[in-house]
Amino acid sequence: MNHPSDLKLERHLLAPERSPVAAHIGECERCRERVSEMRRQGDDFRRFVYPATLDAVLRPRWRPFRALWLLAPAAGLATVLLIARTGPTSDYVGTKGGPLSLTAYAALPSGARPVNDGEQVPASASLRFRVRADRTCTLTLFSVDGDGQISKLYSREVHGDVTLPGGVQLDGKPGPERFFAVCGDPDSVEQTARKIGARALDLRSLPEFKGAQASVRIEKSP
Amino acid sequence: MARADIAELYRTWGPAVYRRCLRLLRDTEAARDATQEVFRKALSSPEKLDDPDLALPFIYRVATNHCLNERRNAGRRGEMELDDLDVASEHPQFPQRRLVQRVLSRFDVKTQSIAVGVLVDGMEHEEVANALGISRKTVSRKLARFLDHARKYLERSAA
Repeated sequence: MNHPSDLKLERHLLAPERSPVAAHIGECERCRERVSEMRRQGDDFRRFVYPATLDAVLRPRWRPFRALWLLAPAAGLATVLLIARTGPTSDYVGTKGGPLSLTAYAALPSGARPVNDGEQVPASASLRFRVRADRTCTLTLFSVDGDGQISKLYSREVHGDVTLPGGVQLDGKPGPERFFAVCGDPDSVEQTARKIGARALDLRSLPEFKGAQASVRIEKSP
Repeated sequence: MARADIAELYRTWGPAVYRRCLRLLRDTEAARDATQEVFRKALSSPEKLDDPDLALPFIYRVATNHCLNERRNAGRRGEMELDDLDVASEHPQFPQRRLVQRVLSRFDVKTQSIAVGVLVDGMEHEEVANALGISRKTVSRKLARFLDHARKYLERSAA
């Protein structure tokens, strides 16, 4: 049996009512599963990728000559920013003073502000994260919600005080969600998190992990 | 183009770009980075993104070329190799179940796009030709050469 390609399934997702492959999908379990997976990936894009990358997409492309003229003042600005950069705030949530700390910031109409553990934030708010690692670590940031759904948000090497690029947009569903920052092998972190599932909501750290960890729980309000 | 218009186009076409990048890179972090790069490239032809009939094959082509380059460059930079691509079950003429990166990397990006379109995505030759903006004859010719060289390479590797 020939199945529709991803490109045909993309067209189907754009306009299911005009899709020439709708009948096939209706009868084919494999294609239905693929369409469901593609929808999930689309949701992931809207929830995580879009808010995290929109700034970069909107940034004007630099032209070489223009970049050359701007080089000197830009270097000066970078220096000023480095000098003016403040240290971590006192609002860190997680293991204060420990090897790893995590702060979540919510973008609210009143402006961005740190979120304390257990605090309510609007269910569709955008969050950004800042971590401070005493040592170089491969950091995985993931969340677990009330349904036990694990969402991996970042995985990258960090050291020092780092604001993670981009951000995440909450899914709009009221309920609890806990964000974990964990140093260690990303695959092992993810596997452990999936094994624990919804129970992780009530844990401040993954019990089987020796690496540095921090977490913050939020309550998404309608 | 106004920022709001770009943001709207990104919201509309971003999911398809992201899915294509995930399919080819098989890594969420790499796919996320690639998605923004692909979309910035696609913005150089905004008229294509405004036309729904043109947009999908256009972003498919840009995303495929970009991600195949990323796969090849990741190997050259000595970064962790990306997972090999699964070959669609409809194409038993290819001798392996997986299209390994070391075979793919031996060909130019156009041939790679054709091979991935037919062998991995399970597309008909005509669909690949339309998506990549080339003739069906070119698809057949380059695919035949790819299969021939890939078989020989795999046989040499196994010997």
